[in-house]
Parts: sequence; C-alpha cells; structure tokens
Amino acid sequence: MLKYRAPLPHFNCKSKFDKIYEENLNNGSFKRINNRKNNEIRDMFIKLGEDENFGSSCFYSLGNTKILTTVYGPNPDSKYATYSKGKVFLDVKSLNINTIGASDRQRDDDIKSLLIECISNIILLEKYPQCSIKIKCLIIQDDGGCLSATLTCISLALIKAQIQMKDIIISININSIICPVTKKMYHLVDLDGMEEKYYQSKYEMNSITLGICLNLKTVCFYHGTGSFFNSKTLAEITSYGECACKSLGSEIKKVLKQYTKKRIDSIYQKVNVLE
Amino acid sequence: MMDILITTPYDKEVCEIGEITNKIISLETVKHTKSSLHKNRDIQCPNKKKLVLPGECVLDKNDKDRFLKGGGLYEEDDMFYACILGRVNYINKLIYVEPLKGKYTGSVGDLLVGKIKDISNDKWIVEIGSYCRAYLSISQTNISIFSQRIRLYNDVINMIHIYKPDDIIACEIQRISTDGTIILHTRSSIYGKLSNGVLIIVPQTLIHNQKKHIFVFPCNVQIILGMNGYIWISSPIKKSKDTNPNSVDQNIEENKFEDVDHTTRKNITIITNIIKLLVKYHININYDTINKIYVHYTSNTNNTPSYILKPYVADSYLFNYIDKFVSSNQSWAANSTQ
Repeated sequence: MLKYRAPLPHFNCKSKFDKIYEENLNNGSFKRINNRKNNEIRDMFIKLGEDENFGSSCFYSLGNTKILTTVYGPNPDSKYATYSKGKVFLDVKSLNINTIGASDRQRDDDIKSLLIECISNIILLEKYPQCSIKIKCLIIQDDGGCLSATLTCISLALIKAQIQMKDIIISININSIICPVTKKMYHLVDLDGMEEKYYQSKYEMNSITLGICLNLKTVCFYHGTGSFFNSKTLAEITSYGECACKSLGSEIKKVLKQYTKKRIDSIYQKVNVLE
Repeated sequence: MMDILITTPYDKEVCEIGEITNKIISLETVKHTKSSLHKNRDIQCPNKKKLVLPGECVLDKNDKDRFLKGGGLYEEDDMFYACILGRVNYINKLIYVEPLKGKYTGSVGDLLVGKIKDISNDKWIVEIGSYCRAYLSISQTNISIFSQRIRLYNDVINMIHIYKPDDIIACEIQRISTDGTIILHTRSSIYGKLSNGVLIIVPQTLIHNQKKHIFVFPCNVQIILGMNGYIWISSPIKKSKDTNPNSVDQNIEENKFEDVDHTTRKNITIITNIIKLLVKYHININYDTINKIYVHYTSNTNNTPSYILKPYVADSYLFNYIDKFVSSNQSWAANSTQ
C-alpha cells in the first residue's frame, strides 16, 4: 500500500507569491502579483439608468468592486433645507457579508461626512433653494478601492440626474510601498483586495484616495492612511495620482460623450422626421 | 536619509495631453479669427450645438464680452462653464446650455395639470412634478356662482369641500416668486377639478408650447396636455351655451361625476396606450399625431385597446405613419422646387 500514497511537495517548494517576492528582491524592478503594470487600472464598467420614481442611477464597477448609486431629487423640502440653499443627504450601505473583523464605525462616519462635504461643494446648491437631494449608495461588492469608486459613481449619477454641478469628480486610489531591502519606493494604482492584504503584510504601505475636478484642475477629495508621510513623498504621490485621475477622467469623458451623442442622434432623428 | 528612486509612468501621457490642449487652443483661435471676418458678429457662436459635460469651458475671456450668460452656465475665473450635461445654444446674445432631460421649471402662463397634495392655512399644496413648490391660494379660485367677493373665514374652513387631497386639477401659473415658489390660479371655467378620466405622466420635454392644450377628439374624448408632462384624458366636459369664461359654469358644477359609457372608456384606453407608445419612442406628443395614429388603428375593428402595446404591432403602426409623413413631406418639397 505504500506506493499509493499521495506525493508530498519537496522540502524547498515556494508558492507563486513567494517566487514573485524573491524575484522582486533580486532584480531592481517591481512586479505585481496579478500581472498588472504599476499604472494599470482594472476593467471599468459604467451603466447609467433611471427608475420610475424620477430618480437617476449609475452602476459603476472597477474589477470586482461594484457600486450602485441612486439620486432622488431635487424635491421641495421645507423641513431640512434652508431658505437660500439646498441640502444633500447621503446614505451608504454595504452588502459585504464576508468582512473579517468589525468595521470601525467612527472612521466610517468621518469618511461619510467627508463625502457629503465634497459633494455639497460640487453641486450648485444656490440654484435649488428649499430643496433636498437624496443620494443612496449601495456597495454591492468590495474588492479594494471602494471609496474612490463610490465618489466617481456618485458624480456620474448626478450628471445623469441633470443636477447643476461644477465639474465631474474623478477619484482613484494610489498605494505607495517601500521595498525593505533596496529602500526603493513604488507607486501602484488601483490595488484590489488581495493585493492590499498581501502588500500590507510584506511591505510598509501608504494609501491615498485622491479626487479631482477634471476640468477645473482642483483637488476636491483627499484621504490617506499610512506611516511614512512627509512633504516630499506626498508631493510625488499627489502628482502621480493626479496624472492617473486625468487619464481615467479623459477616458470616462470620451466614452460618456460618445454614448450621449449616439443616444441624442437616435432620438432627434425620429423627432425631426415627425416634425 | 532614504535614497528614493521615483518614476512616473504618466509623463508621456501628460506631454500628450499638453500637445492636444495646444492643438485645441490653436484650432479655436483660428476659428475665432475666421468668425471675426463676418460683418454680423452675432451670427457666429464658437461652440454652437456642442455637447458639453459639467465643468467644460463654453466661453473664455475672448468671447465672453459678446454674450450674455443664460441657463445651465456658471461663471468662474472670467470664463463660462457648463454645469449640466447638454448642448450649447444661443439666441442673439444670450448663450445657454439646453438640457437633454430634466424636471419641469415653471413659466408664467403655462397650463398645468397638478395633483392636490395637502392643505395648509389658506393654500393648497399642489404636486406638479417640479422641484419648486407650488401653491394654490383660496383667493385664486372660483368658489361660487356669484364670484368676485371677499373670502371669509368660513371659506377657509370649507376648503376641504372645494379640493381635497389627491384631486386632479387643471390650473395656470400666475406668478413665480423670487425664491422659486410657483403661484397657481384656477380663475377660469376651463380650469378646476378634473374628473371622468385617467392621468398619465410623461417626460415634460415631449410636450411643446402651443396655442391650445385642450383638445376634443372626434371620438368623444377630451385631452389636456399639461406643460409639466401630466396629461389628462377624459370624456368631454359639458358646458352651457352662454357662459362667461371668467365665472363658474353652473352645468360644470352640477355634472362633476357621471357614468362614462363603454365606447368612451374604450376610446380613452386606446388614446392612453397611443400616448404611452409615443413616450416609449421619445416622439413629441401633439393632437395631430395622436389623432392620425388613432384613426389608422381603429380602422380595423378587430384591434383591442391593449393590442397596440405589443412591440411588433407598435413598430408597424409607427413606421407606417412615419413613411406616410416622409412621403408627403417629399411631395411638398417637390412641389416647392417646381
């Protein structure tokens, strides 16, 4: 019966991640564990729609991170809105049922207030006196980069709802790691969940969520966690993130214009024929 | 001190973006120079019918002095930016961004169909599908045959008997106050409570402004096209012969609710489904279109009211109508050339 026993791996077997890790240490370059380049973003999918209650919605997925946002309003609201300006209400819920450990309630409230402040400053609230705008976000799946995807999704839903706003918000997640042996710093764009966990255990990591107004060229959202921030590294990370946001934003703008133009032409063709 | 080596892979793309921006600026400069050759400078608008997203620059400081800022734009750093997704359009010196779709914003004199939502003090709160609040005051309604008298305290108590919540009314915008509140009035015999019909809600961009908004079809069906997208389809209102339009018609008051016969109900249903069909294909709603499709559809007596909503049936009737219209239009063009 000894010959039917399953073979054991040999004594110096290494996993795929360990091989990549050793390769990164030996060579001067850096390679990600999912074969993406340092500046490569995951696959993006956007769908704009509207429901029967005169609301507009946007479904935004970036890899396996999926966000659904619905915007209701502006509606007359005599209870909460002030006399000269409207008011924005934001509700974020998560369907993530495999969370390891309880999430930090205080941190979530801080991030939510940051989001509300950012969106309230982007929407021209002076044009909607005594009105309220309700935004509901549903995080269907969280695979890293959830905060930046939520912000972009809210911005696209507001555009679909024809709410007057200053600019499109484009948001992205930048992580910076330091190699412990060679002391080099690498900037990685748009990590997913597995990468986040792995690099957090192996390297020393900073994480920045940056949101910019695409045409006005201003930063409207900035949130970061990490341990080795100083002025030099922050400047480099911010400029890196700004370039990434501009590339992502120009792509979103181009696709959105093409889609809208195609839709307009199909509608106006029928209208012009009938008129 | 750490020795940190930084590379930014987006350097090439930043250079490319800069080059594209320079090309765009040079093209717009050439365009502006070309437009200055025309004698009437108002004819040329640099960005006419261009699709803009929020935040895009519509006019910079070179062109800003020749235009006035209209809707859908905001001004910052001496430039005009768009704040909605739409198309740039202009009327003489007024430049504005035309939205693709949006909620109803009121204009004085528009005929509306609204829904009574609540009563507060001496006003009814009316739901008209807009983000501005709409009020109908008791002094803006006709409350008796002998009109033109001062409203008393008893009239405020009896407001529930004039219009109660969830009533459908036809009204007109009298005034829009400075904070955006819409003041309505029903001081005419054609306005007031609506009955004996159905209400459908369509996007308000499909209903254009015209002389009349209340039509009676030859099949004994009346339609009220509200400017806010609310459409009321009912049996026609019976009126007495000699009526002052500014007072209450006694026959209207007495014949509020009545039994609608089966034929009229069927016709109301057919016209409702025709309007739903036009909304589905984003076609403008007016009396001629609905009447032609109705006549064409009811020429076959086997058609049931709900049959028109099936996709292949809808396509055949619509495209048949479009082909007729195109052929008649071409014949008219041929006659004009001769």
